[in-house]
Amino acid sequence: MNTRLNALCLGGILALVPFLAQPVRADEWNKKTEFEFSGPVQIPGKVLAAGKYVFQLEDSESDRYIVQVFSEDSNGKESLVATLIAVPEYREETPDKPMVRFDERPAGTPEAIHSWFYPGDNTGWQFVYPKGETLGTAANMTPAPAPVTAAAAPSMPDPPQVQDAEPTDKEVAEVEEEVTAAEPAAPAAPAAEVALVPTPEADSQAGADRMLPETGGLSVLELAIGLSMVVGGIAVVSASRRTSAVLSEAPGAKE
Amino acid sequence: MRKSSWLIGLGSALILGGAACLAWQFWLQHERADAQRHAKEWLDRRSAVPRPAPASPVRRGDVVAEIDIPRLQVSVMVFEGDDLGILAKGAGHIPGTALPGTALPSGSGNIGIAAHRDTYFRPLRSVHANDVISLKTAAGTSRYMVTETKIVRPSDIGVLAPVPGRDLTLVTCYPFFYFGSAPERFIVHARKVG
Repeated sequence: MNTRLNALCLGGILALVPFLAQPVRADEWNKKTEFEFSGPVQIPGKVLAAGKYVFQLEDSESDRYIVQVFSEDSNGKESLVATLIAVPEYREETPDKPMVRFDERPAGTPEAIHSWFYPGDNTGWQFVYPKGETLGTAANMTPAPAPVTAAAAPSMPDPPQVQDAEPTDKEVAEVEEEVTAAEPAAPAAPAAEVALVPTPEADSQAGADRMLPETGGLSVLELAIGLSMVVGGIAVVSASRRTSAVLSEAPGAKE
Repeated sequence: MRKSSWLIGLGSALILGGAACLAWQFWLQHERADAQRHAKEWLDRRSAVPRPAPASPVRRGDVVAEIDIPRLQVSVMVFEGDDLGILAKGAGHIPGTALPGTALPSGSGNIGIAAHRDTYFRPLRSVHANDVISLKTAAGTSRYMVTETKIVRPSDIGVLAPVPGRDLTLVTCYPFFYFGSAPERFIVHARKVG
């Protein structure tokens, strides 16, 4: 009887092990991720003051591109700051930790969050900014949700330092700063693509220090040199051998 | 006898040096072919699975497209960047110009692509108006028609400006047969036709 009871208990414990070892994470569904920004950052229509924020997907099965941003106060209480429509952004390299990408903004304005990725997902959520949106630090500023240390309020435009608090592994979030996206994004086209289109004015301004790429390779020259050296070497060696043979066969040549 | 051995030494050195030079070239060739093959496989894989157009800025060395000019039998992968390292393994998308695969209306973006005149873009010396160029990206394939060729100074970057009827610009060095850094650039302009 005791043996049966022990076996039953052991079986029960073994059955529970997977659940104990790997608790069910709601984060996988709503992609809940906590970030801590050390300086103000911009999201569409708002500037978030330094502090802790939670990014997560709205609980919807039909639309997986509605992102909710919550601020988190010092007591851990969350309040909704913004609900944003995002578009998918694909990333070839699978991030192993939460990641935020920033767009560059003009000096004196906060860095803008371009997109965020949940660990293990190649597809992230890219925020769509209205054309020309560049918010100042004062305008539309969300009050700081949590006490901010002195070091966490840098002067602009240093890219904010981001730390993630979710998922529970407490890894430091990877921050990627988009250095090429210098212009505000249009809703229909990604920021970088718009910024990549030069204007004639930009061309003329950059004309002094920009050149068309140099495309003259040396491969043919190097091939020719290599071949010439081999052929020349063979010619020299054979000529030298022929000379030696002639000399050795000449009358009076010493053995 | 001493002279003969000196000559044999010289000949052997020339053979070894030449062989090293050739081996270096073959290795570069192999690296180029390898980079092209991997890039093509990657692009084919991405094209097979419908995905939204890449939204993130491309980085140096990223595969951005495959360019084909059927009549000239040109087919080369295009990487992001136009420095020597990039151009050693394929064609390069000139940073700052429109990105292949973006749905820009004709005349609002000019895609700039450069490649070496002694490798991938050598056949451009035979290009002429109405030649078809296709540009395959993960977002689909676009077709362009050559409208104009010209020879410009390296400082004439205005050829990359987006103007109506100029949606794709190919750049290579000119003259095509020239030892060293060529003094001019050969430009091919094309407009999008589909």
